[in-house]
Amino acid sequence: MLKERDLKIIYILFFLFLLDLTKPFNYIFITEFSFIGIVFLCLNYPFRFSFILSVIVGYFYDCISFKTTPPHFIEFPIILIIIRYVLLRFHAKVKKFIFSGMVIAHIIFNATFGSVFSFLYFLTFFIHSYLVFVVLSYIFKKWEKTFPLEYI
Amino acid sequence: MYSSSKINYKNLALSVILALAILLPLRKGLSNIFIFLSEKLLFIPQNYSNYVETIQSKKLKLLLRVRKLSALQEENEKLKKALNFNADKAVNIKGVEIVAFDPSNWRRVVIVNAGENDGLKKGLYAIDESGFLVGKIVETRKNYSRLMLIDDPDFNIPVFVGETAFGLLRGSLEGIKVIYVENKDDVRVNDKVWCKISFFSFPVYIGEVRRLKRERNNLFLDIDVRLLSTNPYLHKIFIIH
Repeated sequence: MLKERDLKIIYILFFLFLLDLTKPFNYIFITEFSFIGIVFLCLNYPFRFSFILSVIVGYFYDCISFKTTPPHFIEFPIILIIIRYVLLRFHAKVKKFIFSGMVIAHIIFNATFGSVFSFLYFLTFFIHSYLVFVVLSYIFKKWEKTFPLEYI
Repeated sequence: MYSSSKINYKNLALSVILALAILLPLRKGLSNIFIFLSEKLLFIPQNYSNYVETIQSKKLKLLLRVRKLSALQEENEKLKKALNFNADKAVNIKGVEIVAFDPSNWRRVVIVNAGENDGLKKGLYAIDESGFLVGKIVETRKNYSRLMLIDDPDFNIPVFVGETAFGLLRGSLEGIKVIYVENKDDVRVNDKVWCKISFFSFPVYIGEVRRLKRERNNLFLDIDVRLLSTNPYLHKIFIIH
């Protein structure tokens, strides 16, 4: 049975996926909203729930994308496992550093497989992604009142 | 406070295999659902859309006809055998709308609402309302197609620069470039970058030379291109077929 907090993140992921699909800002925002949503999910939700959602979102992502390598339904769960491994070993206060690391890894993945090598583009992607992540975290905190005890 | 617990790898692997076995066959169906939903989000009344498309197609055909006549006149003045060419084929233009974008920010591919049922096939070129090149069809399905825009990293097309120079236009996320233009060629800034499409006997313009770099020890020029198509992400573009 889904809790209210779970439904909120599902709505957010769906909205972010729609943003990627319709691109209302054209390509002014050099970032991937779904990817940011997945990292946010992995940092703040339990493993099993995050794993299922990351596979589903990655799968939908690949349905629409043109020739994606690596496929996102594999990449997103790998991100989850790496984040979980880091959270086991470090304090949860390093979330912003984990996010930065994941963005850099995502840039390296796509640059390698897509043969795109532009430092300026990578830097812009990193800055835009970080800004969107900060805004998303702030909005989600305001929206959510308390952290449920069920996840301990 | 959220705290982590240990991962059961066996259950994880079994879950992944089960999920893949169920979800992989459904990809095409889900893709169609998403494109359908995205198309409905546009909220453009159909009658108005058809009327606008008709007017825009007529305008574009007239514009292309004017360009054709100008190019023919120029060719006649320059060549002695200008009239010894095959008759032009009739040009068909199909107006399409962008209904969705590739969600990846590392590609510049859009999905348009016309496909094999509308006579489109892979390799057809797309132009905007001003007749400037926008992209190329890379994949077609029955009711929709994928259009690769000029600034996609995988986009390539042989082009002419100015009067005589010839090279390869390569798309890139950081700016369009023309490569393999020889250093001895007479190319200047603001020269037009254009291509020839098989249906047309006149040039289809793509952009202008924005920056030009000559190096003594380099065989080829380093050319950056400014696109003439001011907003390739407009909802309306035209496929030439």
